[in-house]
Amino acid sequence: MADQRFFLAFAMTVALATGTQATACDESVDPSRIAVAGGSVTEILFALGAGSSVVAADRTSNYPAEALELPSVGYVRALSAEGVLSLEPTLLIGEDDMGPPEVVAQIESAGVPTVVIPEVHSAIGIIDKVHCIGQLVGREQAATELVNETLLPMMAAIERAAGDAGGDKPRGAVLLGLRDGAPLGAGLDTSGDGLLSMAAATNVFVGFSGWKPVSMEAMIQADPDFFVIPERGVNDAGGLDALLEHPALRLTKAAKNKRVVTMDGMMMLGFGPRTLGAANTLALSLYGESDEHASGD
Amino acid sequence: MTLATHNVTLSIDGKDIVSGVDLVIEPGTVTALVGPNGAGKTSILRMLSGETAPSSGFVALDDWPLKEFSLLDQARRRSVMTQHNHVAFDFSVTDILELAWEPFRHKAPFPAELAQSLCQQCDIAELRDRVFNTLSGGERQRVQFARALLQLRGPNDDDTGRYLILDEPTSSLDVAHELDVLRMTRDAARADVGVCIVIHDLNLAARFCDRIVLLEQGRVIAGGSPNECLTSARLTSLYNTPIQVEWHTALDRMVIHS
Amino acid sequence: MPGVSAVPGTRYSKQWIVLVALAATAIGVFVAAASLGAIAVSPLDLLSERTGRAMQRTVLVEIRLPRVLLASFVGAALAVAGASLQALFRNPLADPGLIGVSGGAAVGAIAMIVFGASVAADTLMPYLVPLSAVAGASAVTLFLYVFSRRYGNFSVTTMLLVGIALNALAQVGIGAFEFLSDDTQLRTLVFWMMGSFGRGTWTTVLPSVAVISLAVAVLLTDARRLDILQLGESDARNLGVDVDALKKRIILASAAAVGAGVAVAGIVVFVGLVVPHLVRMLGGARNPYVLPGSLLLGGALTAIADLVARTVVLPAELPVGLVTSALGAPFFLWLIARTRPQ
Repeated sequence: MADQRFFLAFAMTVALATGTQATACDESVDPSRIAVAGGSVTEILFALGAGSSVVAADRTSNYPAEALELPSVGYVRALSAEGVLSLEPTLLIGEDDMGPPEVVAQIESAGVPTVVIPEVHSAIGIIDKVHCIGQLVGREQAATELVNETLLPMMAAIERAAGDAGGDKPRGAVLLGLRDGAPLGAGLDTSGDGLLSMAAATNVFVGFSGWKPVSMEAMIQADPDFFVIPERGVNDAGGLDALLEHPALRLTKAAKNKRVVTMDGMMMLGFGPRTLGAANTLALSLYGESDEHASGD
Repeated sequence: MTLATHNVTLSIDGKDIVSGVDLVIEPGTVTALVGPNGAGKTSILRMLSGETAPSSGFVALDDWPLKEFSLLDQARRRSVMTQHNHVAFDFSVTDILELAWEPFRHKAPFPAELAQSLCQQCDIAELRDRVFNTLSGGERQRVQFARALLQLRGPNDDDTGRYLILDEPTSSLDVAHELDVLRMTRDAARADVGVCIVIHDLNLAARFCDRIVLLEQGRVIAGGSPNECLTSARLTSLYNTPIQVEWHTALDRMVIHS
Repeated sequence: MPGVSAVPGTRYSKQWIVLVALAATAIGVFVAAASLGAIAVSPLDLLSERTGRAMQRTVLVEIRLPRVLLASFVGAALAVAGASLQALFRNPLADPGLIGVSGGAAVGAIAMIVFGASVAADTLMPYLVPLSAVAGASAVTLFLYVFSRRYGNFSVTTMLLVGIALNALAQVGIGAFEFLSDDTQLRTLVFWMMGSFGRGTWTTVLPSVAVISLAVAVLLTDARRLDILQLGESDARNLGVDVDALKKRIILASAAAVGAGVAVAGIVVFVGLVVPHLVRMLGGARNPYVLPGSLLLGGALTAIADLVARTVVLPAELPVGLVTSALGAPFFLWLIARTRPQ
């Protein structure tokens, strides 16, 4: 218990520290009309009660449902300068892959302040985002409430589940469906890797960084205990059974035991507050039913 | 003023295609290169036109090394009709004829009347708006011939010779057009053009040419007037098939049977 | 062509009429493209007394004008390069995108983005990337030429097959760089493959416009020689054309025009194919007419394609390559059907 309290305190300190250090977050801006490029930013704005100020969002902004009603400014990396400006935003908030850079620069030169929210693939990264956005739009109070009442308890719950289970962490792989026949696996420095460590699991793919196609042999060698796959990847493969029959996956422990967690892609990898929820769900499904599995090893 | 090869040899991959050929094309004469396939006729034409450089020896245009003339100056003094007969785009016959005037473009406007009269002589006046590629092989050949003649008519200084190089200009023509083309070739020579022609029909060569050069495996085996050059024995041995040369008194010219 | 007179004067006057009409169209399209967009502001607003709000001025001057200018110049460059390559290869289906020249330029640009960052200063990149793109485009064009010389002149089919192979190789190059690098810039690969003029800012547009202007000027001065080349290389030489020098100039200038465009706008296919053909249909095949005609129509059509791309799904936009392909691919099929029997 003492450990846990220390962890919480540490997390909050880091969150506050990084929140105040980042110059972007405390910029003085007019948050009355916000254009958003990045699903997690949209999610956080709505969670903080600033949803009515959002005038446009990109295609990755699929949560909450109201966000889908907003005018779409296209894909987060292929924004249209004039399209964004036509909605007369007073502020553009984006994730760090917002682009192309020339377009962002043009939007800024037209007098719209542009803020890039740093992306760190961890629970602290998510909490940071919430604080940063809260500060930007003048909703620090709501941000603190969201962090303290929802996010930190979730982190604690994961910690508790993992701590209770003890022993080795389960080893998993995050896959983005099958690209050209080979599953695209999450290596180091990816949102997938971040999800696994948030759920107190180990990533089997530590030999490479970024999203890379994983060969059949590499998959068998890695032999993950479980897979995490976005719903869309499963649907594209023709359902869970078809996916697990795929030669690249078939011979792994995860496929044999049918241990596959599927969820909405943006929820899983968008690194908004929902992703902490996803990590929580994942951790519970791993540790909650892990007794039999662990003893089986 | 001549277009001449001086002891030219052309070797390709160590093999002599043409060996030690001396050839003089004089203004006012028609010289025929005659010989079996592979005798080096087209190679000699290519060297005469400057397209291929001889491996040894040299080509002289008006007593000056040909290679020292700019391509444009060469084009102003001699025209060449190759066997190439395809244009990728929809160029009309008129378009093709206009290209003959490109070397003289800065010197004089396109001579529309001259072009029209050449077209009538070559029997292509009706084809002038047609797309070149839609014409028959013979029609194309007549267009190319007209183009070669037009190129000879540009404005030049008086002291330059003009030369016309023809590679089988009648290969796709019917008898009547064949005779037309050869008559016009003679007319060109009469206007002081030096003509060098590759032609397979020995009778036509004898009838329309002043000089015959017999070629065998890249060497000149005989040269001179048709009467001197084209003998039964020589032709029989050259083509390795019985060939008879007679004087036809009614026609008053030599006739060659094979 | 029954309606065309045999007298050169009237043929030329028809071509002049077409060129003047195309010039008027190009100017009209430029003004229209500069006037239309997500935000209601037109160049006329700047002329009038009510200069509008500062933001609208910025949109017009900093966003829309460079973009329309880029689209027009890249379109003109692709069309003139396409017409020139068609004349050089004496093949009506040559298009910088289809035969792999644009792909080579893309690989060149991406290689510089991946490797250049470690060897050169950031401030040089706006110049090094187009340079590298031009080098890539030149390499492909040169290869195509050597290949076509070695194996006889390209038939229409061979040219397309070689284009497929070269584009596949370009994909390999792009894929390899994608694998090698996690560079954020490379995540926008769709940009290279589908093309977009959305990156047009004055700093990127001006170097490209300069290179394109120079390259297109070279191509235009060679128009008559390209005509003569249609008679075949020997005949062209016999008409006074230095064929080897001409080929080098055409290869380098068209690669420069394409490379400078691709470096800023990615691969925009079919413009180089469709535009010269439309121009030939309007007034004949002579290059002194086709090249300037392609310049005007290429600029106008591409500016229209970009206008469509940036206005149909407001406030988002489509990749412009999607629009040009939607127009160009059916035309291409029609062209193949028409060309094949010959």
